[in-house]
Amino acid sequence: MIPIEHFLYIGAALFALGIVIIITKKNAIMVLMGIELLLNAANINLVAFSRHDPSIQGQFFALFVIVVAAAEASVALAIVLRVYDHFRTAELNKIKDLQE
Amino acid sequence: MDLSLILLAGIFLIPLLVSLFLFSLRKKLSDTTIAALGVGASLITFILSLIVFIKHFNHSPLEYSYQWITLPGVSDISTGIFLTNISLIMLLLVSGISLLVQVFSIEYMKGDTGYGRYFAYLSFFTFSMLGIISTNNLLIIFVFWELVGFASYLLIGFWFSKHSAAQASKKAFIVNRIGDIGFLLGILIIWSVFKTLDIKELSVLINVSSGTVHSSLIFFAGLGLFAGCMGKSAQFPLLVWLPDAMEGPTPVSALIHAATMVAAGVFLLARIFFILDLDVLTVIAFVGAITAFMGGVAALKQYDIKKVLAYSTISQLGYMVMAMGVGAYQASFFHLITHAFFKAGLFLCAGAIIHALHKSSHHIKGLHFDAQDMRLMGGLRKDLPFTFIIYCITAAALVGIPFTSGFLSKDAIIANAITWSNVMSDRIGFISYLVPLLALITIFLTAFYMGRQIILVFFGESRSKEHLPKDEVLKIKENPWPINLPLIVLGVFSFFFIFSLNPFNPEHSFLFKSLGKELSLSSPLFENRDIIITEINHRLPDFHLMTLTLSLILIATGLGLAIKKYYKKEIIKEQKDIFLSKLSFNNWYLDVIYQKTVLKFVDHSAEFVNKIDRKIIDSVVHFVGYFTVIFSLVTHFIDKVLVDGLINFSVIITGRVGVLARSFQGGKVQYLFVVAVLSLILMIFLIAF
Repeated sequence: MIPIEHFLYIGAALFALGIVIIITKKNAIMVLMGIELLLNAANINLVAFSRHDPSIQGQFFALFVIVVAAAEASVALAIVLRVYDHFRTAELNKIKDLQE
Repeated sequence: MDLSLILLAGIFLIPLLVSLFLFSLRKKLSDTTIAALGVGASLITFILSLIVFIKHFNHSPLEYSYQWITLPGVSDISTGIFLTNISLIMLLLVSGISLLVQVFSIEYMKGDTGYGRYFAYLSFFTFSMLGIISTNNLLIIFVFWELVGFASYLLIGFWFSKHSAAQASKKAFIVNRIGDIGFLLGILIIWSVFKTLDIKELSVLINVSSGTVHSSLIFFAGLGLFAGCMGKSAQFPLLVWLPDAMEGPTPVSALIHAATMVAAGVFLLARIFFILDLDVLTVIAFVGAITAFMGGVAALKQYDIKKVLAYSTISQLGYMVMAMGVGAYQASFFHLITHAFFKAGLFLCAGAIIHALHKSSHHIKGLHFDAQDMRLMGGLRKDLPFTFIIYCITAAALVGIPFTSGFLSKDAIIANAITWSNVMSDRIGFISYLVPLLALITIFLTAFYMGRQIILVFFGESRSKEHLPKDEVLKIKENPWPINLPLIVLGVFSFFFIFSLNPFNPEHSFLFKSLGKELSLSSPLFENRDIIITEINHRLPDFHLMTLTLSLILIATGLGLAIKKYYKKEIIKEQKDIFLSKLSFNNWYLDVIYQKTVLKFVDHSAEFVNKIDRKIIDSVVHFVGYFTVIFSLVTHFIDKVLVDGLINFSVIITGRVGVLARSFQGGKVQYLFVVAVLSLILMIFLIAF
């Protein structure tokens, strides 16, 4: 059997990579990709812990997360489209209207 | 006792109050009111003085003492009244002559714009003089001394718009002040030695203390006190102020510079006689004799009628002081009294002449006529016969012709002087004979200059014609009663019978005996002096006849020479170019000498001090100023750069921090995300640990 820590390490690494992508990427869509990665890392954690659960609740929760991620991704893309319509750019460091 | 004190209070206060009243209301009162007030107050003062005199003469002294200043650790200073016989006599003298002078001034000062001011000043003078006479404390005497000097200043400079009068009043006050320095030093020495300034206590202490007191201290104390007398009574070398003081009105000269103020110095000597030891008395005798001689010489060549009398006063004061110096206490005081009367009489006669001449030239327009110049007078015997008679009587008293009062007092003085020199020649050698020698020469000089004056003024023909415009004559008339009445009184008092029933020997008169009671010479401190005085009294009768004959010879010679030179001479030839003439006329060149030495020194010192002030003290002030400016610039720099810089620095830091903090609100979404993640990690750490 693969020890559970390995799954957790991978989940943590993917989570950290996801944060780094969100922070550092200029393009808004790349940020969305980072968000997806974040959610998937969380999924790995859920599934890993459901191995020891006879009622495999974790896997069911992971299915819900995937559905919610898909819905959220479509809403986010719609927002990015609207932002692009307004600001004529998809680069986040150029969208500074809330600055003091 | 109490009634006398009340009367005394009246005697003091009436002149003072009248003086203040007249001075403040001088512009609003009419001349007659002013004269009535002045003379009336004077009369009341005189009557009160008479009452006090009658009550207390030849009884125990009238005393009253009041604790004035209490000093811890030192004895107290008290003030009060101490009227002995001499004070009582002076009380009468001062108030009496003041009364006569004020009556005289009613007419003399008529029409003067300062009429009220004049009577106010005269009353103020009377008050100050009475203060000197009555008090028992040396310090209070000094206070009134200065007040009298001040009154004299006011009166000499009465016509202050005249430059010479203003200068003369300043000169009088300053020269007086120089004497007062010595006076004050004397007072301080006495205070330090005896711890009291009360005259009665001092006379007791003198008798008690013996070898404990340093004799040189007593010598310097006596010398200091005599310096005050030198200033006030115009002794050599402080005699220069009296001739200039003739700038004041003539009645003022009569009151102050003949009868009373200048006598204050002699009075002081009488009061403090018991403190003066033999060496001081010797100095006093010499100074007095020298002064008498110098005054007599200077009077010989004057042409101003008042200047002759002024120098004569200096000479007679020299006599009085010399008499004190030879120990002839009673004779000196007696001469003070007689001199007051006949000198005041002489001055008032001169005033009468001046007044008559002024009035006689009024009708001539544009005439500048010096009514005091004897060279313009002559033959006034016919125009002013009454004045002539009184003048002759008082001049006879001055010269010392028998049957006058002046003869008695002068005779006593000369006799004592000769005896003194005889006794003292054993101690100090032949120089002691200088004193009576100078005194005898002065008798001759006095006779000469008075003879000269009488002849120039009253005899011969009037010499004023050359100075008048053509065909104009002076209409000289006798003066009205306010002028003549005092002259009569003073003339009467120049005869012998007022003072002694024996015209040739005053020593048995009531006056002499009353004066002798003051002294109680028995102090071991002054043994030398007492020995000499008793010796003088012992030998005195031997010299009486010698004195009498010598004086009569000298008087006759003096008068004879004057007549020979001046009587019935058409043109008065006075050789002005001889050195002796110039010496006499210029008062021994004393003024010039003082100008070149003392005044020059004072001027140079003033210049020197001025230089120090400007160069050193001012540069210190400049330095302080510069330093302050530089210091302020430095402070400014520190304030602007450092202090403000500090604040600016903290402001910038705050700004940067604010910018930093604000950067979180950059509007960049990714920063917000970073903050969220960091806070999450922070919270995990906090909860886990």
